[in-house]
Amino acid sequence: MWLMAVAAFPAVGLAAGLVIPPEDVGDARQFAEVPAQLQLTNETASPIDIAGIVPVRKGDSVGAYPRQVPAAGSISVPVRINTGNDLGIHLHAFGIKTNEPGLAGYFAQVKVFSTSMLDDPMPKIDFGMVAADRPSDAVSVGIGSRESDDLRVERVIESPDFVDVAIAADHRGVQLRPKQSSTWGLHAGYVKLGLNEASQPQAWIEVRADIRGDVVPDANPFGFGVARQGQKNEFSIRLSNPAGKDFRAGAVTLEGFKGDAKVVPCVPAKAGCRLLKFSVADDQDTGKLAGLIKLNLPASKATLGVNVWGLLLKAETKVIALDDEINKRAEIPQGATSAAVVPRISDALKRQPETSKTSTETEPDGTGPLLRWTVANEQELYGYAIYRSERADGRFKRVSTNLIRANSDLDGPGKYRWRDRSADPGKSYWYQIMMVYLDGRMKALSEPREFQAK
Amino acid sequence: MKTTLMLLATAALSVASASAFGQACTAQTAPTLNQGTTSLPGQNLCGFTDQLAKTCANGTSLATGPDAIYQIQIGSPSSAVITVNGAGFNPYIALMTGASCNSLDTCGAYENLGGPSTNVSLPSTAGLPAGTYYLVISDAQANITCPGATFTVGYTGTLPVQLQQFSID
Repeated sequence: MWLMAVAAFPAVGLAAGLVIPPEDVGDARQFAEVPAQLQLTNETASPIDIAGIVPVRKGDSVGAYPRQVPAAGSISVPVRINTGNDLGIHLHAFGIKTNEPGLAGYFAQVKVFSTSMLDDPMPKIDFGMVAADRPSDAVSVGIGSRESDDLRVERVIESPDFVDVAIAADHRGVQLRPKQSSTWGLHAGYVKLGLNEASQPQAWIEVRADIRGDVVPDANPFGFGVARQGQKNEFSIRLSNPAGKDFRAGAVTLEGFKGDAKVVPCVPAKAGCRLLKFSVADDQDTGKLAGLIKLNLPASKATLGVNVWGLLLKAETKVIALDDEINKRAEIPQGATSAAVVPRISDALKRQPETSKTSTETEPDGTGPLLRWTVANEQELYGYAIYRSERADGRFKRVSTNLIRANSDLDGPGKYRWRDRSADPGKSYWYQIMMVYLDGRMKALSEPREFQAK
Repeated sequence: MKTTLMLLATAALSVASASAFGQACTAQTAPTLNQGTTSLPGQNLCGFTDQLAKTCANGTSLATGPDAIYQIQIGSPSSAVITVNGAGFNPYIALMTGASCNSLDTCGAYENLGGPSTNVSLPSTAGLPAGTYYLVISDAQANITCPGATFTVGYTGTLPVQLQQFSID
């Protein structure tokens, strides 16, 4: 779907007639459907016909919309975002094709910040090196949430073909075991689990294994760094048989990028050693490349996969070394007697904020406990969530529906106020503030604090 | 000269990766990004050309418009937040790896966008392995007006978040 979208909407020129500002829909849970509106404004004196709008990401969708943007007018396009396994900031793009001559199309971006109710929102299991011909130990992975006593794994929705999955007897997690396989190399995928919780219907576990047989690459994944169009961009990966036994390579194929690959003897020639040489072709999109080289090994009746990653740039692409540029600004000025001081992180760590932020929020109206807090050093934070329990050692549930955004544009400590309008008068509650990092992780900001609602 | 240095650094990183038999994903020693807490003001997107078609491999496609690319070294450990403040355009920023381990979630949360004259930040570098990274700054809307698309790019070493006061009334 993504390839189709990119093929249909490769680019947009600066003379485009539509203005489509990025849309920020705030925060949502993982695996949620979030409505959003794309605003298309026509800045020309002629109407612009819309030939089609497609989501770039699988799971997103487009609703009914007008097929024409009037001259000097606007239309709204309803779309739905499926947050899937996202955590933190994620961008969801939509390709828009118009009748404007010479213009391939537009990309509209929708930003969503996703959070999870799971204690470990991005569980990962790396089995490391796994022998292709010997059984491996199973690993247990718990799926839990401080918000729910009764979170259970109900089913395995999907799992990669290199992993066996068994739901634990108490349904509080799963057991994972890598399978013996004739497909060697780095394997990665998601074990997708169905949960009994409406606000967190799924949990995905990222699993990895480096399945090793008789032939082993010296790096997998192999990062080739930077390739530039117009250059040879040839790279080599050494393949070895750990026992020094010679081997014969069969067909080599590429997936995910354009180029060539072949297997040649090592120099100097050595038993059990071959070089996998590959090149990156010019005629593909610039940017980050990620692909797979598959090598058939007939004697072993196996296939070895080597993942390769890198960045393809145009020949003339200018890359600025950020630190060098910053340091240039701090060099000795003409006539100065000493070098300007380059700020060091140690200095920054000693520096205390000199001013206080003032929350732009007005005093929340209504009745109920009013929480006030002040926080310094919020640069890594997206915002805050308020959790509440009826006991100090009870289950804490989120009571702030949306996240309270950190005032990252202001200097100094941030001051916040939030009122719990759902509290019953006379009842005691325990409140805890959780901080939400820009990558979506949550961590307690405060210890639970008791308060009797008035 | 700058380009040569960049390529040498990248080549060195590739060799380090290739020689780390079976441990291609372990942290590598690299100069630290956050030796300073400062920024590079006065950048202008209009001074760049369209350089990239996509950033996050299979995640985000870019419109045809100028892309500024900065090479940065992230050490281990590091703890800095990269921020761009752009005026006259909607900044899109993404942190790409040239040679390092990849997550299934290709860019993860290391891309962001925002409106003009707001700070657009990426998560702390503390979650990244050491290595060479490429920061791409572009326009999310592909409708910039030159020469006014100026921006400041920088990074701030972060201190632990500190709760200074908490009360309930």
